[in-house]
Amino acid sequence: MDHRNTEEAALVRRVQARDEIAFREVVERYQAKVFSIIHGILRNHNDAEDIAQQVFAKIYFSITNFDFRSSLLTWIYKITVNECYDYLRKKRVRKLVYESDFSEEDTQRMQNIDTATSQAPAVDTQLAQRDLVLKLLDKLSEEDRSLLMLKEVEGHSVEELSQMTGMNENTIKVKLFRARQKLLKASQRLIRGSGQTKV
Amino acid sequence: MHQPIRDNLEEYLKGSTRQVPQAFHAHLVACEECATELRLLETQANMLRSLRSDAGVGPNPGFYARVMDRIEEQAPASIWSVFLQPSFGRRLAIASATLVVLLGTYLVTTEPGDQTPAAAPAVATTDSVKPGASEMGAPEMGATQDSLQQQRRRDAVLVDLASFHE
Repeated sequence: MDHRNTEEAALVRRVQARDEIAFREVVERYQAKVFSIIHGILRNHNDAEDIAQQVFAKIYFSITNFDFRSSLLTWIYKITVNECYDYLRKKRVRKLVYESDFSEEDTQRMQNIDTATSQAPAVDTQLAQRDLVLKLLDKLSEEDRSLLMLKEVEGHSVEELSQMTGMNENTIKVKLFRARQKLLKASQRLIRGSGQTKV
Repeated sequence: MHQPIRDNLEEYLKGSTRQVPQAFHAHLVACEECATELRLLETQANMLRSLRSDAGVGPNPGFYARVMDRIEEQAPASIWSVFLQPSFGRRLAIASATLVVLLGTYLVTTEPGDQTPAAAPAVATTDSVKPGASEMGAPEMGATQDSLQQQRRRDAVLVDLASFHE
């Protein structure tokens, strides 16, 4: 799909020319989506509001770099997820826990996932799982992470992803498969690591 | 993971089992390795879905205005905005005042009248060698009208003295 000759592309060009009405339209069109993505990751209304503002400020300043290779939503999605990860990293640094170090608690969560998902997990378990998924996703590249999240979290089909990213369906399938494998390896490393520490 | 599973993985994880061919299921029965990996990938997909947001969440009213405030805060400062900074402005005012005082002192101490004794002998020497050239050289001596007139008067006196001597 050509993203250069759409109504959306015309809107983007206006924003690139610093048309404030066009920018307002972009904000109004995507604010609910951006907020929902952030809220899904952070589960905190105030943080979501703050990061959503930052996302749109970033869109405003870097829209001149938008090259129409993907849809505007895909581009905004990537910025949004990255902004969430920046926030989580800063938060972890503040807590003096470096993200690459999985705690023993994380390992325990990982080992309990099978039972937890099959038995309608309690709220605490759900939160713990989400936290763990976010840490595992942090091990992926930006592209793999966005693709996997657009597929599983946002529920887009392979066909939709192909239209959004401008890649063909087979490429999307291959990329998704590789991303899933990397995520699986990251979780297996986590379990193996815990086995070594426990011995 | 083997090809029959890889090729139909996305359809299977999406839950559309009707789109998955019979070969997929047949392979799963025969290959324990693929069956195990597929179970793990199913669990992983469920975990990822836990990041879905609740329906109906959205920013508070006035979101656009807050975004514009944020943009203004983060906008790169213009070169003129430096002058509006209180500390820089104060320093600039002090520096300007100092400069004005220094210039004023210089102008007061170096008045045009003080320079005439130094300039007069040079003119006299030149004129004594070439008396006729004094009137042509006079405009070059001073930039202002006053000094030009002073010079002319001085030249006239010199010419008178020279003619008297003759």
